[in-house]
Amino acid sequence: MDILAFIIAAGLGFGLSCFLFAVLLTRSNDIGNNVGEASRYTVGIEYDIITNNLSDAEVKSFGRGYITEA
Amino acid sequence: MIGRCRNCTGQLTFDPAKQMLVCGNCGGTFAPADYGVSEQELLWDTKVESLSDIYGTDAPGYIDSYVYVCKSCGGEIIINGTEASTRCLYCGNTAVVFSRIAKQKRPGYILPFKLSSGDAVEAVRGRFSKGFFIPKSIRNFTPDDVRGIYIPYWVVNCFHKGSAVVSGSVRRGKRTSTVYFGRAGHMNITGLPLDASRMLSDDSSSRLEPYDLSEMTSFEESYLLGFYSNISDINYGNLKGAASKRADAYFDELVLKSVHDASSPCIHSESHVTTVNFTNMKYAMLPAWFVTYTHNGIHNTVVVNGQTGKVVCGVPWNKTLFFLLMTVSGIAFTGLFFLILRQMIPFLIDFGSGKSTTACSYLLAAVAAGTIALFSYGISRIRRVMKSIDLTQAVSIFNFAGRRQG
Repeated sequence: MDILAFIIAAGLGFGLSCFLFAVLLTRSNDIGNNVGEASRYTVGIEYDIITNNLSDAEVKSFGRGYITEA
Repeated sequence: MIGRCRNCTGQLTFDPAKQMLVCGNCGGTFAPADYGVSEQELLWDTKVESLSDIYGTDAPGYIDSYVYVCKSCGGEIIINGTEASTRCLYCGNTAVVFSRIAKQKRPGYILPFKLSSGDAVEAVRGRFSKGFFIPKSIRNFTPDDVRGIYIPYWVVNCFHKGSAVVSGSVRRGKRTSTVYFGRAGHMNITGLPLDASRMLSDDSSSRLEPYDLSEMTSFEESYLLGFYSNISDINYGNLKGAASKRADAYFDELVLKSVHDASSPCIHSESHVTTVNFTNMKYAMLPAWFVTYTHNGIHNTVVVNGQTGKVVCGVPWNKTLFFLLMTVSGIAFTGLFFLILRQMIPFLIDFGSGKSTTACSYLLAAVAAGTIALFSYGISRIRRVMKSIDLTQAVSIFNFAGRRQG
């Protein structure tokens, strides 16, 4: 029982540590890694089609023919 | 071109703090827009000759450069195929290749430097001092070279049309299922700056944003005094490709934000088309400082936005400190979780064997998935930092800044 607890604890412990220190490393050493945000260059998308809960068939066919209308 | 003071013929350079041309000898100041149009025109016929023609070094492995004579001291000035201004190696004067600017498309706009080289180095030092994993030797770096370079940009407007299917997780009762959302629409993108120099990677230049383009002014050669500059060397195809890449990214970002009813949305499939309005593009020169330092024998080039002071780079990290702290912290977390799980697991196993095996296995699966997610996210972040460091240490960016005369 203790071995199982230790294995899970080690995974979680080192995983959490890896996550936290990677975030700290990014903040410390990855400087200015972002580009201009979308809101700076566009007011947004004007949607022609908004569909939720697409079926599998609709997923495959969605947008077909839409781009060629440009 | 040699920028000469009208009072004492001393060398003029553009002062970012004063936004004026300042004489290094008598301290006289001149407005860039009013300075010496007639003097510039006289120098447009400066003869620029191919280095291969002069010295016969036309081996295919070499990139041809061009030679002309410094109007100040008569020394040879060697420039590459896209440089528009440089400094004389012998007298330090700024030389602007007017013939090149005049013959090729002349920039319409320029965003003058607001930061001096000292400000740029201070900005880098200030940012480095906040980095916990930045080695002390880098925090106290001595720059090998600091160069102010006007990067050519095309500021474009484009129309983007696209459709995308977004997948996301939706919880229904006790179950989580994947749901698909369809989005199709169009957007106008205005004032998008795209780097027009093939020598500088788009990954590096796009990180310099944002620039406040409302501060752009009409292009005058006088603004180049004291700085290096390049002219555009990309074609319409390159430009369209770069615009399309940026527009796609913005479209995807906005589409993902439009899906509110699902967690972890991601693009499942998409198709886009970007139409660039080539008739009203603006050709502009935008300022950047390139600060080069050497660490463990490797050149690192930090780029600083010459207007806002935004610092862009990946910094080599103190690996010993990083892995030591991560291991110690990992052991501490392991101990903490062990104490908690030691109490919980017997209960879960009993609970599982007694009433609900599924609940127990779900919980263990969730813990395993969480562990994998934590490691994956952490490793992807570390890889992102390493990619930034690779960009900072890339030979291409070092050559872009460093392979210049003066």
